[in-house]
Amino acid sequence: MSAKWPLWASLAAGCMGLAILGFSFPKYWPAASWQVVPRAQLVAKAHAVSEHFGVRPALAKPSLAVSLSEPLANYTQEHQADANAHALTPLTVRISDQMAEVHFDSAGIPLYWKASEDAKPSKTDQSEAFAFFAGGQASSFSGPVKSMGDEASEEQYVWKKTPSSNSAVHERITVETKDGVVRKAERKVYVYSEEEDDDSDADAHGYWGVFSGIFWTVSIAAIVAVFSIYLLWSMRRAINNRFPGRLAVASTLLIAVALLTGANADKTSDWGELWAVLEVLGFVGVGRSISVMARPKWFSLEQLCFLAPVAKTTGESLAAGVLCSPFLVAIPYLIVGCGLFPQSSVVARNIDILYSPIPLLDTGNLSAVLCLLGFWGFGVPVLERMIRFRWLRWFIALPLGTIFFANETRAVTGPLAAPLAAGFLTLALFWVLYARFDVLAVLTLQFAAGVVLSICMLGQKGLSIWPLALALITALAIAFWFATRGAVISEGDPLATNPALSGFRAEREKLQAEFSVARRAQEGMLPQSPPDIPGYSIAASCTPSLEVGGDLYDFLKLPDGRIGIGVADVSGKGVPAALYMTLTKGLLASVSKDNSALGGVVEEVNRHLHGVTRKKVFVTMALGFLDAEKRLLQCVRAGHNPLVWRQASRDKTTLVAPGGLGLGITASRVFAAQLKMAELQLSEGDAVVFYSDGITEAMNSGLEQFGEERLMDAVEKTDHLDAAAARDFILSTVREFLAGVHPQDDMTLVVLRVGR
Amino acid sequence: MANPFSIHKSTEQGLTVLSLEGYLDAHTAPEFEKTVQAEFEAGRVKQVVECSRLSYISSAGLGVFMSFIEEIRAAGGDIKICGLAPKVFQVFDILGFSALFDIVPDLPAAVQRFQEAPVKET
Repeated sequence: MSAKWPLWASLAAGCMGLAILGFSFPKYWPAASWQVVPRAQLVAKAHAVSEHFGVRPALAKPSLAVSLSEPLANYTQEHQADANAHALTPLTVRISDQMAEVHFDSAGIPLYWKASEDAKPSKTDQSEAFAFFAGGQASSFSGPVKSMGDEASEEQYVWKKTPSSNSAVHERITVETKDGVVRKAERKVYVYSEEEDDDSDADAHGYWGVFSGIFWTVSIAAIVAVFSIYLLWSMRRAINNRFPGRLAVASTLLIAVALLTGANADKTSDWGELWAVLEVLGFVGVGRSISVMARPKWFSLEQLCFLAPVAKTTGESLAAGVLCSPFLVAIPYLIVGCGLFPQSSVVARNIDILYSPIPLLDTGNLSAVLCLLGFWGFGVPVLERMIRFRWLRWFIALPLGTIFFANETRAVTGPLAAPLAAGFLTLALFWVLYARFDVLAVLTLQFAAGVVLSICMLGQKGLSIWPLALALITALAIAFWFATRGAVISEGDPLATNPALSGFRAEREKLQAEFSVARRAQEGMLPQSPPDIPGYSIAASCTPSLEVGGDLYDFLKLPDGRIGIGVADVSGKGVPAALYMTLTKGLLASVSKDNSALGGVVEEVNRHLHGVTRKKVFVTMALGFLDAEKRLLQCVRAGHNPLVWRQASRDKTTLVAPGGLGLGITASRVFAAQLKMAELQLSEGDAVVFYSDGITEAMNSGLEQFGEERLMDAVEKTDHLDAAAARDFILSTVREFLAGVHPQDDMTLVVLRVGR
Repeated sequence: MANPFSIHKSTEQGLTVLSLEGYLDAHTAPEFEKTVQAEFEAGRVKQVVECSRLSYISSAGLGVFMSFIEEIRAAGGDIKICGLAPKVFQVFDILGFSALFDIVPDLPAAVQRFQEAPVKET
């Protein structure tokens, strides 16, 4: 399948997404109207607030956390007209150090101040503290109501502002003193039935100082490392149902790291990550236990993970993911803006990016990535394996996937239909990417969408977007570079799965080029055309099993006018055999130049071969000297396969097998003693077939050999054919027998036909 | 290409018996070669190669027999071959090995042959 059109389609989807976002993002983004004070300004303000209460914070590198009150956010979304709700945005920024903790709303209005145990604040007037937090609105509050704290020296004063008739927004200012000194003051905004000291802040994310930052980075690196190892084991099939111990160890490690990092996330214990890890483990467990892995769908991810040679497919998957990402971001805005779901609204998510010191590091959503890996990498393959019927698969996958993605993304609130529609569209988009590309495309889409959403949010607030935009463009450029320049490697190619072999590829190609030169040289060594003998036809063929082979045939012009026909086979195959093949050919030619005695020629060749070959190499040869006039073929068989002699006129087929040892085995008199000669008196229509054992030992997939019987049968059927046609018929019979199995040995065939 | 091949080594009345099983071809010949060489270097030069479970032999396999026979005979030993299946025997025979080696039907015959003729007369 050409990946071109899916890439164009991805680009189209991406452009559509951009168009939707351009039109709808500022309109439907809940945080669009909120003011955002830059991080540095907020820190300076925190100094000022704390100093107002007489505490000079160290605040060199304060920690900064962001949290969003979902009830308040939902309320402001649903009651756009309520000015009370818009007075304070639901986003809280927390700045803290060893001396004090200060909170602001996103517009920079102070919401909270608390001195640490060691701090020594100086303000004693709780009403002044109230006025400071109430701003100019002190008159709209009633109170204070005074109550005693846990200790005798502690007192608490509360001022309240009851909502007007058309609003459900409450406000409350609390000031706490100890030994008459103000140590804590808080302004809290809440809606409806929110409990007095409900801490229902959700979606909180923290940014810490240098050391906790390092810890955070190390923790994330640990998660990634453990997960990668886990993935690697999984892919290498080290983890499967036969190794429950390893699975248990890996799972425990993964959970431990997740817990450790989660527990250390200061005020934010993010159980979502842990939950996602468990989800994936569930998928993995099921996947492994029935040994399914959609290998091709994992291929390019695997390539990337193992830093193997980057394949074209890797680039295409990356490109498709990045191109489609604006559409994924646009889905909630499409749902809310399309008018079908009037009660729905977009949920403000990942809002903390606005205060992130390095936004690029905060665009990824590890838990979402893990979930996707679980769903597409394991869940879907399991489903495909377990359920044969396509329609049933769809029947199960569609509702399950819709609910899964509606829950995972949680991007739209309102009537159930709205989040379900968003879930369905998300599922559809991921499905297309999974089907057309692979798991890598799915993951890339998620990552890139995080970046695109961040760009939208930062851009809307007028904050710097260039690092993110640059990252996205770079990613796209790299993807296209891979897609156009990457190697064409497919799943199953040993070069693909074994990175150690990557440098080997060029080497292999070079060797192949040299081998084809060698092959041509060897082919050139064989007679270009058979000799023209009046009253006879001769045809020959030699097919090496590897690039070069150890078989040869040759035709000799003997001093006495006879014609020599020889077929030889060097033991072993490949390059060593090929070298001895050329040697044998040379010896035969030079020895027969001034020797017409068949026995003498063979003995001479044997003597030379025995002198130069290593002991375990030998050559077998069938050699016949033909007296064309007398129709007399004198032949020897030096350890070679017998000749097939077809006597057409007598309808008789025989194997001619005079005794004889292979060449190069022994130079002693044993060779000469063993060498016997046969004389065939040929007549019109007779055929003599010389061949190598590659023909008779050709083995089909049933491990059955072609054998001498089949060869003789085939020869019998060629009585009416000349040598060339007979040769072709015999070879096609062998090929038919092999039925597609590649020959294991060189195949050589020479046919001599009398007459025609 | 990974054809099964295995060698089982035993001793019979002071003779080394190498029982071959499976496919002796270009891929498995080095293993056989190593075994014969190790026996030869350990001074065990009277060897019987028992082939009743050998299903196939290629020219590379035959080469192993050739490569040691002269040295072994020079050291006063020999290689006797026994138990060849008809198809495998045919391969030995075509090459003329019956003229070079003692090829006997079974192990007892091989043992007896060693007593009659420690080295094949050629």
